[in-house]
Formats: sequence, C-alpha cells, structure tokens
Amino acid sequence: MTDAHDPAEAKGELRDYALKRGAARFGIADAAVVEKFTPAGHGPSALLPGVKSVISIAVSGPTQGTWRAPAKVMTSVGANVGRIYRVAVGLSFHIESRYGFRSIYCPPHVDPEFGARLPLQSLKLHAELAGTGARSLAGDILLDPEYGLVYYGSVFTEMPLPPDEPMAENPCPAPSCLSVYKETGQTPCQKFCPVQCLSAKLDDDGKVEESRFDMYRCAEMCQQYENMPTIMEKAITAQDPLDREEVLYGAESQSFFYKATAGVDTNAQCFECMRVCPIATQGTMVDPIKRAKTLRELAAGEHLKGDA
Amino acid sequence: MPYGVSEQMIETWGEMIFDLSLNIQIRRGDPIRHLDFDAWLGMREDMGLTDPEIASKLGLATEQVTFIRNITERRRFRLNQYRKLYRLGGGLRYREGRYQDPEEKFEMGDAAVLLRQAINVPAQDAARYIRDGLWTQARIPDYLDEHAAARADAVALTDQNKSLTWAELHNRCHRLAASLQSKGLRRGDIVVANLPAGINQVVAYLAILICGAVFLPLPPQTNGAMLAAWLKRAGAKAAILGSAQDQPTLAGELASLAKQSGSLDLVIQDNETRSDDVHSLIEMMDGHDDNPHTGGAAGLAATDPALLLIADDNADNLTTLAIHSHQSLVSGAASVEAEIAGETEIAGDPARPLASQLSLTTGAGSLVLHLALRTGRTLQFSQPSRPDMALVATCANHVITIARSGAGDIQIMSTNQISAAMINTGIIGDGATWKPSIGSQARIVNEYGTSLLDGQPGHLQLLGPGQCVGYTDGPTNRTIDGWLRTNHHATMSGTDIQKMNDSPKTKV
Ligand code: SF4
Ligand code: SF4
Repeated sequence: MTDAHDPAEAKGELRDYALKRGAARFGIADAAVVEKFTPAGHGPSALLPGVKSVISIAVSGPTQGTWRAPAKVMTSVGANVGRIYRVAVGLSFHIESRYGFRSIYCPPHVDPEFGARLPLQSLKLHAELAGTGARSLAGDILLDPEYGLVYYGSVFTEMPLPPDEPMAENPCPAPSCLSVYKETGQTPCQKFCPVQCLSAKLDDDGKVEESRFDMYRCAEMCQQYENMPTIMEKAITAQDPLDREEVLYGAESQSFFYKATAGVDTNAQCFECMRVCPIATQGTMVDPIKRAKTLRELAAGEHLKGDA
Repeated sequence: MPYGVSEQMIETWGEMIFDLSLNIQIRRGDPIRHLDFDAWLGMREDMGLTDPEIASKLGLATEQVTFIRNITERRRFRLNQYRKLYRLGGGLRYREGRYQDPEEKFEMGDAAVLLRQAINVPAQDAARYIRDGLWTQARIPDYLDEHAAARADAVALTDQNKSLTWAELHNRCHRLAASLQSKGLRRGDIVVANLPAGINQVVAYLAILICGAVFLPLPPQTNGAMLAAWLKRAGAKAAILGSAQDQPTLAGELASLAKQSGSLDLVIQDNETRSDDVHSLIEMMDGHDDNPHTGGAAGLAATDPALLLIADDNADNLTTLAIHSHQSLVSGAASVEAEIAGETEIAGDPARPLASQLSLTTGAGSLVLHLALRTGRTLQFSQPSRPDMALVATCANHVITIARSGAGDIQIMSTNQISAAMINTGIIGDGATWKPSIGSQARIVNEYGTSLLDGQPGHLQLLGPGQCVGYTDGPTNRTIDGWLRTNHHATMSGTDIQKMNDSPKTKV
C-alpha cells in the first residue's frame, strides 16, 4: 500500500479515469456482497483472494446506424466490447501504480474446467450490485435507463472503496412494453426473439412474477462453440459425400471457419430482442447523435464525461 | 469410458442435468437488485446451478456432470440457427412464419432424389443455352402469374363446356396446389395422372408444378395394371385418375395399393365427390376441400424437373422416362413462338381426336400448351371460336402442323425427348426441308457415329435447348456427348435437313 488516500476522492479519481477513456458508467460493489450472491468457486476471491472492491464498468452499445443495419451486418459490428478491455485493463494498472493495491482485470470468459457455457465470473452480477445495470426480460441482458444496451467489464482490487447501490428502479419492462404484454401476452423482446427463448409472467404493474430464459436456444444464435465439433461429427458420419462436403464447405461452415481463422472476435451475435427494446434503442444517451444535445442540455452530471 | 460415464448414464442423467444447469433460467422478482439474499437463495436451483452444485445434488462426480452436460448440450445443439438472422434488419423483424430453413425447402423423397440424380446436361451445352439467352430463370408457373396479372379476364382455356380466364385458371391452380401441399405433396414428388387432354389436365399439371412437384402424364386408356406398374416404377407420391365413369373401380384399387406402398399416399380422381381414401379433384380445385393456401414451393428453380414423358417408341413398355425441366420446356416453346406471332388462339384440329393432339402425354402436345402459356394465347380444346383468328395445331408423329390464319402452314418437330427441335416453313409433306429451331443443332452421322459430309445420307441426330435434361434408368437414345439419336434417316446441306425415312436401326 502506498500513501494514505481518501477513499471517496480515490473513487472519484478512478471514475474520472474510466469515463475519460470511454466508459459510460462506473460503479463499485462490495466484494463481500458479490461473494454472498455467487455460487461457490465463482466469487471474486477465486481470482483475487484479498479482494475488497469490485468495479463495474459499462461502455455504450451500438450506434443508431448500426441498429438500422441488416442483422448480418449488425452481428459483426454491433458489439462494442473492445473499449471495455482498454478501459478495464488500464484501470487495473492505474490502481496498482497510483494507489498501490493489487488489482486484476476480470476475464469475461468461460471457466475452462467446465466447457463453453459456464462463465468464470458473472459480470452481470457485478453490474447489478454496483448499480451499472438492471436485469431485463431479454435473456438477462442488463439495461441502463439512459444508455440502454451496454457492455460490461469488471476490475477486482484489494483497495477498499465506497460501494454504490444497485439501481433503485429497473427500467425494464418499459411502460410501452407492459402495454404490448397486456395486449399480446408477450413483451417486444419476447415476441421478436428468433428462437423464442424468452417468456415471462408480469403483474398489472409490470413487476416480474416469473421470467424464463431458455439460454440453450439463445446459445444457438449467440455462441458457436459447438459448431466446430458438430461440423466434424456430421462430416465423419455423413453417408453421402456431397452431404459431407456441404457440412465442411457449405456457406455456414465457411463463414464460421473464416471468423475463426481471421480472428473475428464476434463469432456470433444476435440483437433481435434489443432492436425492439425501447430502452436499448431510445434511451436519452443511447443515440450518439442525440447524446451531444442531451449532454449540452443537462447540468453537469456524473455521466457527462462518458463516451460522447 | 470418459470419467466412468456410460451411454446409459447419459440417458439417465442427461436431461436432468441439462435442465438444472444454466441452460434454463427461471427468476421470480428482482432479488439481487433488492439485495434480498433469501429470495435469491430460494430460486438458486431455478436460476441454474454450476456443475459442482448439480453433482452434489445428484450424487455424481463433478467431472461426470460436466461431461454429461456438455454431451447433452452438444446433442441438442442445432446447427445453422444463426442464418435466421441473415435477412433481417433495418426494420424487418423476425417472424416464425416468414422463415423457412433453406434445407427444408429442398427436402425430397427418395424418388425425387433419384430423379434429380438422373439429370445430366453436358456443361458446355448448358453454358451455351445460358449465354444465348435460351435457358432463363423463368419457371412455367411464372407465366400463369404474369397472364393472371396482365390479362386477368382474357380466356386462357376453353372446351365444349366451359372456359377459364387467366385469373380463374390461376386461382384454380393455386387452390389445387395448396390442397396438394396440405396433403403432403412436396418438392420433387412425382404425380402420375391418366387424365384425358383438357382443362383439368392442364390445371393439374400447373398445380403440381406450383408445388415444385413433377408431372408424369399417361394416356387415359392406360389400364389398371399398367398404371400401378408406372406408379411403382416412378416411386409416385400421388395418382390422379380420370373420372369414375371411365374407371369405376380403379381408384379404389389404387387406394388400397397406396396403403401398402412405400411412396404412394395420395389418390385423387376427377370426380365431384370424395370417398374415404380417394380425394376429389374437383373439390380440391374449387376450394371446397378445407385447406389453407400454402403458397408455391419456395425456391422452385427453372432447372427443376417439371414433366416426365415416356421416351419415344417405348410407350408400351415400362421403360425410360425423359426428364424435362422448366428450362427445357420453356425454351422449346420460346424457340418457335416467333413463327406464330399475330395469332391469338391455339386450338386442336377439330377433325382429329383431341387426345392425340393437345395431350401433355406427348412432346408435341406439351409444346402446344407451353406455347400458349408463354405467349398468353387462348388454348382451345374444341373448335376455334374464331377460325379466322385461330392457329390450329395438329400433332401427329411428333410433328405439329400449324395452320396460321395470316400465313402459310408451318411444321414443328417435337418429340417426347426434344421439344421444337426442327421447323419446316416451306413445303409440307414429301420433299419438305427442315431447319433446326433457334438454338438447336442437327448432324448426320454414320452407324459408327462419325459425322458425315453435306449431302451424305445417314442418321439424324439433334441437340438443343428443348432437349430433355436426363433420363430415368433404362436405355436412352442419347450419345455420350449429349446428342439425341432420332430414328430418322436424312441428308443435310448447310442447315437444311431433308428427312428420308425412319431408320429402324436407331430405334431404342
Ligand atoms: S439475443 Fe437473440 S436469441 Fe438471444 S434472447 Fe435475444 S433475440 Fe433471442
Ligand atoms: S423490450 Fe426491453 S424494456 Fe421491453 S421488456 Fe424487453 S428488455 Fe424489457
């Protein structure tokens, strides 16, 4: 540990650091609280034994132009995760060099002991507890009331920092979604999901009585970890040589192999639930075009130095 | 045996582990945001457990759970879901009914697969027909759509008793197609029919093509045994029979045959009413048969097979079928349509039995129909309504003689294997001089297949865009380089061909 510092001041300085580098949101959760809400082996202490604080950072989602693009275009440019790495890794170095506390960038990946569908850590849990997002009805995507769809990164540190609160209100379901639900029994995200993996029962006020997310269906769209072995198995067991060639060299497989060999980091993405989400597409800070205007109109607020 | 896991264990535990894992996540309320630990704990199992948690719940080792879960996920994983996204965006939203898996569009029965495998067009010929604009993307039902839109109220088909406008013909064909699809007719399925030449034969043909299926017309007098043999030989999915008056017991017999058959499962008769196992063609065409409009076969291609004709000179035997695609049929008609410009109607010669003229069972008859379809002319199965405006087609021995109202007669040679191969616009009868139609070629060869010089008599061989695109198994009369061996002896000078007589040697 280096010179004594004021935790509140340090938090402000870290927030400024993150926002200057492109974060839209910055929040802190108490690592002990995160640990309590985490299945054994997946809490912050599994990565950093002396962890005190979990910092959750969000960067904004796609541009307005991207939301209007054909899905196949959006699948390759919709995600905005690159900036997260820059902000969060930078922050972890910054804490160590400026404040002298061990820090680690939390890997957003799967736990290699268990295969492709079990994450090492839940970045969403960190964000919920740090108040940088609230759980929506769309496949557990977290939403920010102003920035809509955001991408998360977490930094764990041994530095004690004053935690934030979870969001007081959940922006999901939006009032218009509740009206649609009352009319049709489905919210827009549920209705437009191509694999129909979302459902929920809402009360009259829009509170979620029960929501269901068939993650395995969403995974067929948003993950392609199973593609390679599936392709190989089908190729091995194909009776007809043409079927074998199709499974190896057909358009789907070619594009999958292209992405894998060209190192495209988004093997698969699906945005259909978010395209129809009013929070994701119409929040005051969602649209980078409108955002500049909003920023001018708002009095100086905490998000002012975000990624405008 | 990885981690001591057997196939039986996967069967026992797979679904349970799958459901307990993160694959299905159920939440009540918003407990994390409210920091409500007890509520969160109460729904842990529904939110999805980790592998160690599942292992301790089920009494398995963690490695076993991980292995079983991953295998079960893998087995349930559906490849190619991602392509549901490809045509969405920019305001277009996914809707289940809008999406058809591309592979589903091409699902075919065994007979359809065999038929497709029998299609064999030399690459250089296909390239030439495409380059010269003789083969295009037009499918036969496209002409029906076009005329129904452009000349809805004009008469498309007439016979002694009724007329159908293009709009009526379009509706009738689509109703029948929807009904056939709702009864399970799929792309590539073969439908055998022994309907007489006439409006219903045309409607059945077009409806079958709209479904992406293939029509095999047999002469109406085909007896029950022969019909059953053809159904089996073709692997037919459906049979459409003439009226019960003509064939009182045949439909019932075929319906019981269908029950035992691996492929045949639809028997239809040209009747007003249906019985238990036999559907009514009239009811299906008129839309009284309760079924939704299921639309045409998505992805129908001009290269798809459309019509099967019994290879020439083999009508009495169960033998080879000549496979015609939409492209070969359309191009055959296209190559001669300039010769009938100015005429408004096409009719059979009233002096001859219609069955021998305008029936789809012959290449000549089918050319007349496709000529009418391409050009939007009225096809008459009776005396022309205005003989002065009409063009009368007489089809005999593969030759259509067309009496044009404004010009002299012409002759078009159209066999079951090549549509509109040669045209004669000069003398009719002995001494006639023929020329290959647009895109077609002719050559004279000796008995060893060597091309002969101008004026030397030999066997006539033809090649052209109207030629069938393949043959079902059995003897064919196609040379290795794709030319059709005719049974004509002829001489050739330049492009002028003079037929001399039939050449028995070249008969199949
Ligand atoms: S990302 Fe796509 S598949 Fe997943 S829930 Fe949203 S719409 Fe459905
Ligand atoms: S569309 Fe958006 S706001 Fe509406 S219910 Fe779905 S996730 Fe919530």
